[in-house]
Amino acid sequence: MSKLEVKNLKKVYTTRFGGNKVTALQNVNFTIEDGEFVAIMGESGSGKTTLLNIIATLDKPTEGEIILEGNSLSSFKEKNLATFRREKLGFVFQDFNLLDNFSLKDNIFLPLVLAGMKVEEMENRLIPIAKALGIEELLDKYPYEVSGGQKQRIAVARAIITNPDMVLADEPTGALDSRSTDELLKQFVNINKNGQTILMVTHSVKAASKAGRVLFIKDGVVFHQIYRGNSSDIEFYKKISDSLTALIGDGQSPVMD
Amino acid sequence: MRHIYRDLALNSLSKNKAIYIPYIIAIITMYVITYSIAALASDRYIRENLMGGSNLQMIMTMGIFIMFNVAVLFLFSINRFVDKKRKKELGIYGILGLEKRHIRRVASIENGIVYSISVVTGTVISIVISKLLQLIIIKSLSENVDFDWSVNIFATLITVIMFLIIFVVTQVDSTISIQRTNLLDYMKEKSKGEKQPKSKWFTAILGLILLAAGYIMSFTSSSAGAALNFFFFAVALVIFGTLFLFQAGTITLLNALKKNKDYYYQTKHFISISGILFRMKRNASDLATICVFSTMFLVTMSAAISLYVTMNKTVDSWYLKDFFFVYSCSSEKEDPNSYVGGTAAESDVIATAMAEIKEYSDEANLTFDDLTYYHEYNSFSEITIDDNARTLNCTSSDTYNFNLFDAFYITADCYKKANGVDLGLKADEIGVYSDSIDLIKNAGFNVTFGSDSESVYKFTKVDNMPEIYLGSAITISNGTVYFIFPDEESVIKALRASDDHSVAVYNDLIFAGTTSSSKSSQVMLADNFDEGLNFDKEDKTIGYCIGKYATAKDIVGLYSGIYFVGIFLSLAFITVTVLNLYFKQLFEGYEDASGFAIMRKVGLTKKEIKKSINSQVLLMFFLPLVVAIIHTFAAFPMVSKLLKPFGTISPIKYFGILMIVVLIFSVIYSIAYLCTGRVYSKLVNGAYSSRKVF
Repeated sequence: MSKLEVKNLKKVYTTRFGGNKVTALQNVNFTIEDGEFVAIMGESGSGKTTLLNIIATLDKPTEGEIILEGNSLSSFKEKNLATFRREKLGFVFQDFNLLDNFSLKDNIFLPLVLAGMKVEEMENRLIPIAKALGIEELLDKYPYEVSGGQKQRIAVARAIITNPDMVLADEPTGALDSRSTDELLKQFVNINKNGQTILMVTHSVKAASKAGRVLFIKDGVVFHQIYRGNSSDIEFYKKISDSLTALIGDGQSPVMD
Repeated sequence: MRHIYRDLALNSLSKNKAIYIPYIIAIITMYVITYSIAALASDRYIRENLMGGSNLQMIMTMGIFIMFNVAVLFLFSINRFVDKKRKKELGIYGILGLEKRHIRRVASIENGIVYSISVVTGTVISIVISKLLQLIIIKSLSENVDFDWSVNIFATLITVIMFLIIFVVTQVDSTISIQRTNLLDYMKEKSKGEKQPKSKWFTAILGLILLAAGYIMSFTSSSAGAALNFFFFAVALVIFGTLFLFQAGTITLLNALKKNKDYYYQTKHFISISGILFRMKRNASDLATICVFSTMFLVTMSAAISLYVTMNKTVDSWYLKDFFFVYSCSSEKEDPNSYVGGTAAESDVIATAMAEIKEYSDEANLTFDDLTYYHEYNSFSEITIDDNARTLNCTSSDTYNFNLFDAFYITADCYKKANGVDLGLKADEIGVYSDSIDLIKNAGFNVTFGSDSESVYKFTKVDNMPEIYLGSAITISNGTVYFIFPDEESVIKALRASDDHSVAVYNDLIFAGTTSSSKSSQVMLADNFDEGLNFDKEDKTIGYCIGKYATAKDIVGLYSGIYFVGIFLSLAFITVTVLNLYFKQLFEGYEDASGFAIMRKVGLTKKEIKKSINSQVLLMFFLPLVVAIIHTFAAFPMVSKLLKPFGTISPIKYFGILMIVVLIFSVIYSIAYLCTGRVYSKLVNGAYSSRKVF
């Protein structure tokens, strides 16, 4: 069974007075297997954010369905959705989304506290994660005291501490400098190696080149996808670039390997 | 070109209604309060017809300037909030090519429109409200004063000028801020992290100690004199205690709770504690101010109502006859011989007095049903009690201490004349009447006066002292004591022995009369007699008149005025601080919204968020009220002692009135909360649901 199945997904936005209809997604189909690291690429307005919002249960599809671990998301009610979100999904955002009033440690604990977990267990879970992400020294600090790269690592810790089925990352490197970007991507790869499924939306070819598979979205359709296979990062980077060039060039699907 | 600026300003105003409408309401409220104080301070009626009116108006004039300062600070800080909110828009203008001077112009047109609307509306509302206030005072205090509809020019002018100044000040501040800020910075709305509030154990404990000390003072106050003496000190202790506890105590407590991990890491507590911690950091002083003013209001209001409802009874208990004419035979401390009664000089006084009283009462068309006179000697005296020797000594004194009493010396003969009762005192017995239990319980002791150890009297308790119980009711001493001597000679002897020549001893001849003539005659007699009181005229004896009815009227007038001013000012300040709190909540709502949006992404339901918001806002509003109510009840023992000299209000009745006042105040306060809470949660909900999550 696949980790995530997206079937015939369609999303149409209607303007406030019912005038114009904008199709953000039409007939999107793909699956993600357990332990995959998938990147979704596409230009602004291609519908990738809409897709992520729907997978994150923050938005509802017009048609089609999403199945996570065999559960159809459309069957949940708002109250259960909140629980679902915090138990099954981990989020990493472009602008970190840390709470300024909480220490970094408390920020990481937030989803666990909401789930009503015992303090000892939270602490136990944090130890290996903090070590892996290299944030042990930072835990007692506050968001305004650390750099963007450090903030994003905290956000990653918060995303994975619930042992989610899937981590959803939205342009996680968008606000980072190149060094921090490298660091963060390395950690994504590590997390993925430990079995964590990751779905990442990105503009950055470099970020996408760390993934195992890249989906290209254009005008609300999954246009193309490429697998890493045995390619090195550099080779995969080049493949992605080529695909993007082709996408822009003639709008035709490039020849698959 | 000019129209462009105006259009931009109007456009921005209508787009940001959510900010500008409360802003305008705030200005109008401040305006109306300032205007009303100014109107009362300059009101002709209060000055001319209200007893103590000119003093009240002096306090009120001070009130105008306090209010002005408060308004400047308050509107200044609101303006900064508003500036922050409109910066983004101004930034867009900048990027579209408007120069800074153009932006300044748009901003000042906006501000100008806001203030014009506020001042015009404010003036209309103010005139109505100030006329209403005037009407209330006139109707509640007096019957036949003409109400005029003229607008108070002074109040209008001064308020307009003050708000013009405030307008200019805020305008200058906005201009400087526009000048200083880089246009690009306008576009970025960066959330700067706030320092985590630190625990302040020392201040918190100090606050606790001060508060406890104030409370203990209240609970242990023994008499009216002691209560008055310590009242303001206790008030100061409680004010500072409250301030410290709000500022440091709350934060220290919350930090301590935070350290308790099992408690802190629970869904409910986790979000609330951090939320409240920061709210406290930003709002503690405001909350403390609201608390202090609410306490003042509750205490003043309940005391005022208590006095008002019992005023007539109180005056009855003070004056058992309708009129007293007091003629002082002498009050020269240098001349001990002048105490002597029954002299030729005294007979002269009696004759003159009788003639004078008749002259004035005829003029006022008033007849006395009966008119008697009696002696009364009076001085402040220190009474020391020696429990071992079972003696009690009385020596005149003018320095305040716990043993200072207002002492009256009268003869059994006078007592009988005034009261119709023969005490049947033996030559070595002395009748003692006092309102002090500490003193009365010593019945059976020996009583001596000053250094005279030869004349020793036996303490005989006297239960009734109605007729001569006069004029001395309001006293700063611990109480009054009446010594009733067997004869005139022993009075003089005791007086001479106890007198250390430091204070005046008064030898008063008191003519007491009852009448059934009309109230207007009574007022006329009292007024005319006091007008006739002229120390320069040699043919007049120094005498004064106390008319029960006229006095009651004056006292009601005087105290009503004072309480009215007190209540009005504290209400005004409560309004201002609540308004301030409201604004802070409003603007914090915008900041909080992003936090709640994050929580929603991480998996908090809308319901949980709403609950958390409600509980935090609830705490912000009700903490001051709850503490104020506790303060008020803690002040109860002291205030009821303070009320004691004013007469007959029983503590139970006072308590009942207190409860009603607290209840009504709580209801009004809750309504204010409901309005704020709604706006706030709408704001937060709206802000996070309209925000794109990714």
